[in-house]
Amino acid sequence: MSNKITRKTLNKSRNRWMTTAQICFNYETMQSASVVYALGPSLEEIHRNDDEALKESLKSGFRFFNTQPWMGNVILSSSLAIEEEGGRASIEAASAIRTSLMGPFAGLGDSLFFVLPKTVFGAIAAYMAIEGNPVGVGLCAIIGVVMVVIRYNLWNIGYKQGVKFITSSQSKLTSLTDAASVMGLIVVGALIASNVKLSTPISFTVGESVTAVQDVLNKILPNLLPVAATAITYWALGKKKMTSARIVWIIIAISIVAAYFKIFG
Amino acid sequence: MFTLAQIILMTLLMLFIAYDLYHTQIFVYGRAVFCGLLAGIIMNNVTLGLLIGGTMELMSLGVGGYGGSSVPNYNIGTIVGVAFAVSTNKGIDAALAVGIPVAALGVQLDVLGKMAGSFFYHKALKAVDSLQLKKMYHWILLGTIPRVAFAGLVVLLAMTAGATAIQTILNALPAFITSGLNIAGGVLPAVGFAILLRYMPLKKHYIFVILGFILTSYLSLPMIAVALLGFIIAVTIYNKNEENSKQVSAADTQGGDDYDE
Repeated sequence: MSNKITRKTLNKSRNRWMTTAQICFNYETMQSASVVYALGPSLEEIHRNDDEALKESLKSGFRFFNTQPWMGNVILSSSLAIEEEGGRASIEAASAIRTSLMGPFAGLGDSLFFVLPKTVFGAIAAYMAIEGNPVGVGLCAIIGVVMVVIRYNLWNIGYKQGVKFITSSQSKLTSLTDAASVMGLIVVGALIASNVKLSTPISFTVGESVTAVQDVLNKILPNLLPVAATAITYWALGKKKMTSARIVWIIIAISIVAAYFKIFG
Repeated sequence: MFTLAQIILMTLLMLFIAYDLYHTQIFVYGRAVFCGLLAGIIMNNVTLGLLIGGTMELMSLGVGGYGGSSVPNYNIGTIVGVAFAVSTNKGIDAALAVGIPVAALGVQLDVLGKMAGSFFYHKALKAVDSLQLKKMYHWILLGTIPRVAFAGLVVLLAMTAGATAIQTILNALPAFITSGLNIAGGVLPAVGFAILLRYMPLKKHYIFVILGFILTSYLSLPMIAVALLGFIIAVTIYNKNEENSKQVSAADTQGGDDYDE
């Protein structure tokens, strides 16, 4: 027998997830502990009369979980809806929902909420800030708050529609992810040109005329060096054992050496 | 060098930003600029704070800890950078010299924090067997300490113990190191974009990167224009995808009818 979750407890779970998502993050099970913290009060209510079921349910919550935290709102609330409906018998089903949805939703959430808007709004705020104008960052803060409202609703959608919503709009989500990543790629292409900065002060003297290498490079392709730097970084990231952290240190080291020999600057 | 109030406020700012970075995630857009603005207010030089925050934000564009990976923390870089840029009177050069290495160290800090998280995780998991739920919740909440407090500790240590040391180092720094870090500042945004491209369907849609590059490099369009153009193309592609999937499902239904007959 399962019990219903009261509105109050359901809201408590939502508020907990929205304020403590990813808390106690660890390499073994990533976001799992924060899932337990958020769902806990609701699970306690569902399995009110069955301690063994509650233990089982909490332990399934402690399994590996990792997704984009905002999309987690949909995933977690729909897994609650399933567990509320079926009680102890559906603990595994609820856990399976979390496991099967975390991957695709992480991809969607990352491209929709993080990659694209973070890059676009971040660039706008940064350019304005460099000129001493705080309007851009103010705008960013407002958008962040608007997103909180959207995240509230994502939780309710997940709970009300449960799995029905997620499976019926699967193709729409795929189309959306694809389209959003195209927009993202265009923006990234533009940002590589405008944000990555690298030039060389080397020049050659042939007879009486001085030729700056940078001028030659500009004629081949504007921003050739930035493009090359990005391409090399991209290639290096694909190497085994190469992490973004190591690349950062390598770039710092190469830059200092290049500054010493006046190759770049 | 720093007043007690400045040290306390900057540490609190770092704790708040670190908590929001991982958990509440409200100031996700332009976070380094946000750090620069607030740090600038605390250090009483808003213009410099914005300049440093903006510069660090450009380096951090595209850098995201997707899939649980650890990335440089330009927020710590900004906050520590603003503190020393204002106090040494050396402006953005000091901010980059101190801020970039500190931001890069943010990766190691994040890895340490996640490793430490395991300790709290196992403590919480153990409490389930005896159904000591209060204890379980407490251990989970305490699990935020490694990631958030480490960041605050860096700011606190840098501003108290490191103040004179950093001043001396900055004075003794040869010119090629500062100009080298300036070059690195220009190249580091490439890391973010390379990470992004690794996560995006580059092989399928690589021509759109070239399009974006042309729009800025040759046509010098501002970012908003590029984004809007990208939006138009994205909507077109979405509609086309939807049409295709409808045709596919229509074909499926038809197939079903055949079997019925």
